[in-house]
Amino acid sequence: MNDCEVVTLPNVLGGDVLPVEQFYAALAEVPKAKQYILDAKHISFVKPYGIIALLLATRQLAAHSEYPLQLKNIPSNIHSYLQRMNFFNVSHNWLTTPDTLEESWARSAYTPNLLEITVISNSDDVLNIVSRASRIFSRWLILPDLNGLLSVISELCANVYEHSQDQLGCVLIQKHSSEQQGYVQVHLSVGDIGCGIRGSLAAIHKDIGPEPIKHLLAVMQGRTSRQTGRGGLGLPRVEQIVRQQNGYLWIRSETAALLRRGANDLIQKTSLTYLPGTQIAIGFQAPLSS
Amino acid sequence: MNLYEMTQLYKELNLPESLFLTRDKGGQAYQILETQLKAIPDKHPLLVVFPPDQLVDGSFADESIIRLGEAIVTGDFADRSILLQGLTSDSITNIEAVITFRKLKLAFLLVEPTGDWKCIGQLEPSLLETLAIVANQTHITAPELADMKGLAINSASNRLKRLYNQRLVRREHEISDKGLQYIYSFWNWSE
Repeated sequence: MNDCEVVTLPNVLGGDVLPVEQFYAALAEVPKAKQYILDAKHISFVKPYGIIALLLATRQLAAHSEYPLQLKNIPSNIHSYLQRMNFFNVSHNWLTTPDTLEESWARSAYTPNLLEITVISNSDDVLNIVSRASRIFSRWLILPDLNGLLSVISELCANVYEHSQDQLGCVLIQKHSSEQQGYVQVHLSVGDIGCGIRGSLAAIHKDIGPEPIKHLLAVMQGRTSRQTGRGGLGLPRVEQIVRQQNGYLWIRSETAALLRRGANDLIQKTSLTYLPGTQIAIGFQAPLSS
Repeated sequence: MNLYEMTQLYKELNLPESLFLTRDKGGQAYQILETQLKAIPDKHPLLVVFPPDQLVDGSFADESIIRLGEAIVTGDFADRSILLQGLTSDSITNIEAVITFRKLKLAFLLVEPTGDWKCIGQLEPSLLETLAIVANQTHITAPELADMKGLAINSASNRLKRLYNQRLVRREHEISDKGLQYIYSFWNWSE
C-alpha cells in the first residue's frame, strides 16, 4: 500500500453525467493508499450531481484509507461555493477542510437560491427538506411546476431513508434563472452509497436476475421491496413528472443507469464503473414566476 | 355532517403546513382516518377537508386516502364512505397517478361546499353518466334508470350496484309486493 495517492478531479464536475462517470472510472484505478489527496486545480464549475459525486467518492476513499482525505489547489470561488453548499460540514468526517476563507459566504435556511447538501435519515428530514424547498422555489416557480418539483423531492428523498440502508444519503438543488428570457433552470441531485436498487429488490424479487440494469428497469415499472405490495410508485411518478417538464433524468445504481431526455425513450447504460447505492440527477427548465 | 379537517394532522403527525408527504406519514394518517370513519353512523359519509394550496404526494395518498378507498370498496366500513373536499389540482394529479400506476378501479367523490362535485380516479364513462343521473335525483331505482336511459333492467341494476360497491352512492332497500327493491341516492354533504 502506498503512503499517499493524488487524485486529480476533472473540470466541470457535474457539467453532465459523462465527466462524473470519467471521475468514477479514474477513482477505480487509484491504487490503495494510506492517504488520498484530491487535487481540485482543474475545477471551474460544479453542479449538484458533481457535488454528490465528490461527496460519495470522498466517503468511499476515506473508508479505505487511514487518514481523512485532503483537498488541495481549490480555486477560491469553488471553495466558497462548496462552503455555501455545506459541503465541508457534511464531509468533515472524511475530508480535512481546506483553510478557512477570508470572506465566508453566510448560510441561511431562508436563502432563496439553493438547497444546500442536506442529509436524509428519516421522514422528518424529508418533510423539512420539502418545506425548505417550497420556501425557496415558490419565489421562482409557478404551479404546477413548483408542486411537481416538491413531489419529486419528496419521493426521491423518501427512497433514500426507506430503501437505501444508508443513513448519510443526501440531496441538493441548484437553480439558475434568466429574468430576461423568463425561465428558471432547476438541477437536483440525490445520492447514497447504500444497498442500491438491486440490494433493495433482490430479496423478494428473485425472478429479476443478477443484472443491475434489470433491477433499474423493474423499479421504473413499479416493483417494490415492500412486503405489503404497496409502494414502488415513487420513481415512476418522478419519471412521469420529469417527462411532463421535458427535463432529464439520470438514475444510476451499481454498474447501470437509465437516462431520459424529455419525451424520448429511456436509454439504458450498462458496464459503468461500480459504485454502491443509487445516484440520481434531474434537471428541467420552467417559466419564471413573475 | 361528519367531517375531518386534515389540518388536524399538522399537530398529530408533525407535518409542515400544507404538505401531506411520505409513506410513513400517510400510514399514520390512515390510522386516524380509519378511526374517524368507524366512529360515524353507518350509511353516512365522512367529509375529509383539505386546506387550501395543499400538496398531497403519491406516497402519502397511496398509504392514506387510496388505502381507505380500497378498504371501503371491500366493505371494511359497512356502508360508510368518504368524500374529499378542497384538493388542489396537483394533489388530484398525484392521487390519480397512483390509481393509474396500480391499475386500480377506484374512484372518489370530490365535493365542494356549493354542492358541486366531480369524480376523480378510474370510473367507466357509463358509470360516470349513471352517477350524474343519481346525483340529479332525490333517489332512483333500477327500473327508473332503465326507463330513463332505455336500458334493460339488469343493465341498469348492474350499473347502480357497481356504483354502490364503490360507495359512490348510498343504497337502501324496501320489500313490497313486487319483492326486494333497492333504492339508490347520492350522498348529502350540505347537512
